[in-house]
Amino acid sequence: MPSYSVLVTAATLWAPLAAAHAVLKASNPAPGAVLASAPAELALTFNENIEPPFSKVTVLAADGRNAAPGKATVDGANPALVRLTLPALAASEYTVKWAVAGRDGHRRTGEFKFTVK
Amino acid sequence: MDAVSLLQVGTAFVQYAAFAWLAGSWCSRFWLPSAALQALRSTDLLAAGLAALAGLAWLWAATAVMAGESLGESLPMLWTMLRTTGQGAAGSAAIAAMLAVLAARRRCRPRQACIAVQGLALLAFAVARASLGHAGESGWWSLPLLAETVHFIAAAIWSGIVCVSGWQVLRPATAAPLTPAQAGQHLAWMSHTALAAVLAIALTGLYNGVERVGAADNLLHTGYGIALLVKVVLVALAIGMGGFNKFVGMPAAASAAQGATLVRHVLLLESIVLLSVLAVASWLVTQAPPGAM
Repeated sequence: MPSYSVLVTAATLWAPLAAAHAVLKASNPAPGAVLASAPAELALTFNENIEPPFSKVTVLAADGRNAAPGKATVDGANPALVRLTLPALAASEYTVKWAVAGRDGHRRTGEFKFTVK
Repeated sequence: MDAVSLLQVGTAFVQYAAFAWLAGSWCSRFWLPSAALQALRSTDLLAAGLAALAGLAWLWAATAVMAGESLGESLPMLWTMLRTTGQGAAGSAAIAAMLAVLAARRRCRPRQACIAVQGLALLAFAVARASLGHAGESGWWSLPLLAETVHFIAAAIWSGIVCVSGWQVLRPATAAPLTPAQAGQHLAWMSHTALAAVLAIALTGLYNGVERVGAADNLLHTGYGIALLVKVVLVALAIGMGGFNKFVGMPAAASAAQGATLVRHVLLLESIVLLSVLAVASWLVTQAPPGAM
């Protein structure tokens, strides 16, 4: 038998087939941003590659209507980057709601706000 | 735990346990007599069939998780998931590998060819399952995926040979009971194989653990870490049982029939502990490791 320390190390580190989960690393506009002009695009960068069919981004205006009816797309060159083309946004506060599934199969959701002056 | 999570954890456990059984049975072929191997055939077929079915159900649960919907609502998305996602491709490959094991165990005749075909199919299953985790993101030819695959195989071999020995090979009422000499040889090979598996787990686990757990503080202050500590206790218990059998049980079995009974009873207990470890691992796979957040 191996020494006690080796066995305990093995026991401690018998890690499962665990996976990371999609986490929003950066966004443009940034959470809480106050913009002087309306952005043409929303770009969300995650910590892992995103599966396009199971990913959705919505932008809601202050009155609750969907301000960006287009479909979000995953960047071909960088599968961790999700883009949503925005129409001309009027001055208002907007809520971004995102739900994505990572390459590991786990789903994560989140939301943040930005304002167009 | 909702129905989707329950299905995902349950089917992952069935796949892990079935793979462990098949890995243990496959290793035993290198030293067991033909009659004992034949007696393992039906349980091998059952394990491979269950793993394939569990793999299909796992894909359905994975679709529901990815879509954020119920099992019923997500069913129309299953085909899309299989066609377009990495999870779908790897999960399908795992099922195909298990079907290959099933077919080879059912039909294959030349013994060496059978061992090779089933070994390759089991290896393919292990790579596919390993790629379903974080290691898969690094690509097919990467150190993380290699470490994950070796880790998965080593854990399965350790659990599998203990289960195969306790539940089937050393069972007194088995269709092909071993002679005392054969049983002693089997136990010796089992012990050597388990030791090699534990060492492989230590090496690859060190690599995986640093990446997944991160700071030691995470062990005590996250649900993930606490579950890992539970596993530590269970694995330490299993190692203790293995040590008892090696230093007390096996010498006793060499001299008296009661010793063989003692060894088998300890193996049965060890198998339950190791299956509990696989159950915890099946739950942990659905959780976010603190080191990766």
